[in-house]
Amino acid sequence: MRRAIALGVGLALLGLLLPGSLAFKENEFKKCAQTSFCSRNRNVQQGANFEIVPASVTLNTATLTATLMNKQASKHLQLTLTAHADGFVRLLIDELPSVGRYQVPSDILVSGWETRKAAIKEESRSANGVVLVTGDTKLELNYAPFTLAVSVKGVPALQLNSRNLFNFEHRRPKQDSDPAGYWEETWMGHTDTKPKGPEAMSLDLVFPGFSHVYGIPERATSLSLKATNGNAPYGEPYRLYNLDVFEYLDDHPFGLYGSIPVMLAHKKGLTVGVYWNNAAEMFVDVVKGRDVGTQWIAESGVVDLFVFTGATGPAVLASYAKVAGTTALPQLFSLGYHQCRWNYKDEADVKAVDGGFDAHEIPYDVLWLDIEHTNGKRYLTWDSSLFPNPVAMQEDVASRGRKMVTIVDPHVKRDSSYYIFSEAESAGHYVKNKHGSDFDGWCWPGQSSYLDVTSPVVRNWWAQQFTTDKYQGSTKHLYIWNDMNEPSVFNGPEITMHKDNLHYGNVEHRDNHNLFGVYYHMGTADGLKLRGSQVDPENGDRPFVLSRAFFSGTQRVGPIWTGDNAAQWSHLKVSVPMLLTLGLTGLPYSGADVGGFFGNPDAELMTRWYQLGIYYPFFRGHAHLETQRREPWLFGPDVTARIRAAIRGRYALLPHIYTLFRAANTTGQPILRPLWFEFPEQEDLYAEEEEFMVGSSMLVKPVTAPSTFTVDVTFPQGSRWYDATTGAPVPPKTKTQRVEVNLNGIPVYYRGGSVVPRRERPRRSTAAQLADPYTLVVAADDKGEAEGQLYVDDGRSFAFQRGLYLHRDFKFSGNKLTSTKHVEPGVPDGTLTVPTTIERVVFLGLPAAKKGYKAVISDGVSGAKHTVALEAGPLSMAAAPDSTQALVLRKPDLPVSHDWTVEIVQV
Amino acid sequence: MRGSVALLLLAGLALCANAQNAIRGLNPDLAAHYSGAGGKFTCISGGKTIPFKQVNDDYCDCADGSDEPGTAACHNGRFYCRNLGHEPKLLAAAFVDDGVCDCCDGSDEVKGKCSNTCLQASAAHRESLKSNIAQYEQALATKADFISQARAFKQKLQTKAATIDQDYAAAQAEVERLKAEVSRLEAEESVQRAAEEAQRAADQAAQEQAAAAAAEHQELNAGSDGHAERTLQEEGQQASEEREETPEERGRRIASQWTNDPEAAGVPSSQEHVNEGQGEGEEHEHHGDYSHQDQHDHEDGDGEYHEPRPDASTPLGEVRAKLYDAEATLREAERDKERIATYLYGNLDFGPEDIFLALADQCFTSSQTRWTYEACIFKHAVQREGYSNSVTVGRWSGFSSDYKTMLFTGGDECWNVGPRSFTVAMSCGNENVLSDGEEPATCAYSAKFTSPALCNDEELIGLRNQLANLEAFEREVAEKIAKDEL
Repeated sequence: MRRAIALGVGLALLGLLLPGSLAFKENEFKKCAQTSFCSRNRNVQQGANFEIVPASVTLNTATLTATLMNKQASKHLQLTLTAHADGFVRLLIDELPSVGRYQVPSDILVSGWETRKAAIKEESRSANGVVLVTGDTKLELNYAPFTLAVSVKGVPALQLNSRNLFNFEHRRPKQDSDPAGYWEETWMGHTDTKPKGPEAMSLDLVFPGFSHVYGIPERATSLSLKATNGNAPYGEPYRLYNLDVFEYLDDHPFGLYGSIPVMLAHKKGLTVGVYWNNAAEMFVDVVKGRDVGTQWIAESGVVDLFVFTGATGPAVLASYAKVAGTTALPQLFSLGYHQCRWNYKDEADVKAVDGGFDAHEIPYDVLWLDIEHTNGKRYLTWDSSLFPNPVAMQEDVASRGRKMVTIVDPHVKRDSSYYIFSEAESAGHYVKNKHGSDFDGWCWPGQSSYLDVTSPVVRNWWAQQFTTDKYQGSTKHLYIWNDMNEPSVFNGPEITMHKDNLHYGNVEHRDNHNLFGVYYHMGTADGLKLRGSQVDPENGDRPFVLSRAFFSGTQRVGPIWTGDNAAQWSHLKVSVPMLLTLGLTGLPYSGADVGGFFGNPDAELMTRWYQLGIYYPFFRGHAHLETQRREPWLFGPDVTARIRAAIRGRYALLPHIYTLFRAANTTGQPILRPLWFEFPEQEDLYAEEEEFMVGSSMLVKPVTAPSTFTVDVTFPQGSRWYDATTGAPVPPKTKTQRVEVNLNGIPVYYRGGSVVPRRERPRRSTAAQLADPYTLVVAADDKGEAEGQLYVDDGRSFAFQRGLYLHRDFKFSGNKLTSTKHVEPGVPDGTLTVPTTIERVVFLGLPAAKKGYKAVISDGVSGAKHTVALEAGPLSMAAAPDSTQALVLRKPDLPVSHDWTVEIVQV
Repeated sequence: MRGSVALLLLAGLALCANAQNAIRGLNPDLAAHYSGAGGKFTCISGGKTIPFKQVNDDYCDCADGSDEPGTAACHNGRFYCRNLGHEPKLLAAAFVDDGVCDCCDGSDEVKGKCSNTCLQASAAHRESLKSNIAQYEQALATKADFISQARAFKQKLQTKAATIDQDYAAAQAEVERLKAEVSRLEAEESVQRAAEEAQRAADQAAQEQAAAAAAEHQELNAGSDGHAERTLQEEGQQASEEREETPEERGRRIASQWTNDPEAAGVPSSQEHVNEGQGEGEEHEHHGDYSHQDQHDHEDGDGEYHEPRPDASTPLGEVRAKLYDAEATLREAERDKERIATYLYGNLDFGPEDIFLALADQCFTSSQTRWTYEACIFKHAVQREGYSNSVTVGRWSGFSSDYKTMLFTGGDECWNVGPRSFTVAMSCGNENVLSDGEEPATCAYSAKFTSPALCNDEELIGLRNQLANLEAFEREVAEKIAKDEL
């Protein structure tokens, strides 16, 4: 009773505080100065204490080993430098002898690369150093002080410890003289006991002659990372510590829900990348001068640094993908539009929203249910008063080719009558507190325990919960959304778990905090894979699980979204650099909530967000519980028409997007790309983040402010550009041109030299598009040439891994457009054929011909030829029916599965 | 209850659509454009002319989509389903040949994909019309009752109005008289009781005197201990107001950031009460001014909680019981005064024939997942959460001029928005039901209300006509089927 009274008082006080609570609570989160390991290393020059013991330096084919001595502490470290054949060198530094410091488990990365090594040649050796060469990469190791300089093709790429900021705190016994914070640290009433004491590391990485670095998501900030020695908030280092940040700001170095310790640096002639394979809390400082200097401070673990030396953006990402894996090829449906809300409240609501899309002829693929669908936030159950017939509901939605998603979070309600709780409790599947008993935290359901998904045993058990017999009320049409997996603990330090909590293998949470999210995501995806293989042992479907938290390797599991953004223009704008950054760090399958999660977007913001959102690799509209309903048809007929056109535009572009996903799947290339990635020699594009490329063939300039009537578009030089609505060529005037815009769309351009496959029929879902013919847009470059690809498979199963896919190369050259089989090294040959045809080919940028053109079509199989006249017509009947900017080949009925040639000749 | 007015018209078209069977998906209204004269087709708008063989060739030539009535080739095409036996339908071209049966005759998909469900659809439509008519008839009967109830209510108030001041004064006087009587009897009784007590105390004192000396000290101690305990408790409570929050409070506070709802995390759901645990902290207080009844009858009861009638078996008890009754009479007189003020002299609009007066004094509730909305017509509306939290979302403002909406305005202030408001959309229904309470915009609430008061004869006539047309149409189809014309 006393407790009840006290609580009543607390809640009453809260009520008074609520209005002021509507903002990012900066003081709820730690800054570097409030964090012992960061403050004792930031800008502290300890690097000169470290020297290589010359006699210890040993080179063995691909590996150099050496002893690194901390003079001051008289302690030794083992340094191992290995050259790998996949375009990188790896630097490992650990204590000598080993004291069992935590290393990121091998299942976070992929395997295979470890044994593919490249020979290292000793170029020269002196008393104080050795110069090594592997391929195009030169490694200069200096003994005293310890430094390592990396250059690629003779261009300086990276320097380690050149600013003397390297440090490696060895384990030690506790001493009375130890400063505060070494063995215990308290933050807002939470005391972190540190049984192992200080064990941080500082990496001093300088990118010589560079001005721009990118990466280290997740945060709402610029693409080219700002220096962190500036004015607030950019006086704080970037932080990598997965946290559930309420109402995050749109321009802030603070770390959000996910972490990828990958950074790219780019300058004219060279791109270099680094990855620190470490899952502990990390701070990264960036300072800029003639070089970009960075200092990386991690709380625990070892130094495990990968340096990607492929010299170009695509090569660096391909190399990183060899280590961390590529994007899992998503099911086609998951690239359609997703409609979400906290919450679609009951079965009638689901039916009405599903019906609303058909009534308004707007395509969509997936309807989502947030936490209120459960029985008291017990995930994998249903609130039976709201959802009495979940199976019938899903079957009904699926009868129109669509899917559903339910949310499943890692906190488990402590309720012994809840089967998940009791099974996991009796099996000992929960994360333990520092005393070794089940950790008890607070989240949506109230008191909760957290599955210790860092254990393969727990993940295996968790995966089994998703089969249709186990997950009551689920069907094969249901997919999953993992939220709160940072993990979010409402009453924990910084809204997460205590660092002295214990995981599988007696690992402290401090060591693997940033892995919790990806492991939970992995366990859930394994569950859907298991379910798929039960439903169809031959061709089970690919999992689809959305996650909020992430780490390196998440790309192999599924998409992420950028969490709880807000219905503000600034959040619309910052979504672009956020997604570009994710693309540059190996996690391109990502999106921001269209419309903004918190608050109510007006019609204009909603319209502009859809017009941008159709290019997000993951495209979902979502809204907070206490916002106005905002399904696309609720803003009046004009707005409905614009949103309809936008979403239909996404569906039309899916053949291209899916083909880009295949490239992400095979070679780790991003879907959305910063301009510098495609135009690496144009220095004025290196910080450009207000426009972006979709693959290499489309340029998109979102409108990010209200009442915008003109925008300045920067057109990278050396390419022709064509308006993607009308097909009109962009006059080759200045690099930046003022372009008029209206509410009907945002500026989008085809890049000359591209062939882009499309499907122009506005179907209700991706499933309904399956048999539709294609349109090819052939946008010629200055030489009258273009090329592109089309990738097709069943869109749902793993059969593509057995070669059941179709991949074509389209090439336009010498006035001949040809279709040939795409062959990629290391990928099994495609053997799929489909009856689909190409119904329309539109040519942009053909030179004027007095009497026009005709097309001579040769069937590559039969050799038969026939001739069709080309007509001036619209690029797209839907977008600009009156335009005559394109030359249209009408109904050639070209088979997508076979070779053919279309020759364009003047009449 | 709204049916298909256009049924007859469209049904007629369906029956004479045979002529254009050759062109798939063609709307018979537009048949003239598809004569094929000169081997040409001219797009219905825009004027572009194409060879007629390009009609329905699965390639979109016309900007208006008119060349492809039967395929999905045009983004803006319209496919006409004849749906013989039921209602014809114009379907988006996007839904043609997409694997989903949209037309009841299955004509939008390849042959064999869909079964023809038009006769079933028509039968279902007929049955639902019949059921609607039956319900409507019943609703109109109830409406007639409402009108007479409203009239009776008003007459009763008018009758009462003539004597209300006297009646009220008399009731007041009677209460005063009985109160005085009760006081007098209580005073007598207490004098008597005091005498008895004094006697009993004297007896007891005599008995206890023997053990008194030893016990006295201890008793004093016990008294001071008890005092100390109370003080500690009070201090503990004060301390708890200032102390650091518990883990649970912190969890709830952080959760509340996301929802502006202090109980966002761990709040018991509808099915949650069976469980131990988080419910513990909540106070289930009963508010005297609130009844859980969905509906109050205006003839009896005021929804307030009262002590039970005193036992009348003693003389004092009898007078107390009389006072109890007199107080009830006075309360009723007070309510009558209020009713007279509100419903006779309040200048309120009760709709045609004063029909909404039949809903006077009534409250209706709509229970949603977390909140319950309660609308008391002509008074106010509240949103409640659980039993203890409630907010006034508006006070009676009136009906819209068409009597399709009732509006409550000037409710409790809402941060950054202003006073709350509540808009209730009304429609014809068999019973008085409030439903779909929600908050579509911050602090602007809405709900739906059905009532027989909203039903009218014209709608019933419309429904009956629809049914007659449908039955005639069905007979016609049946005859054609019999003659094998189909």
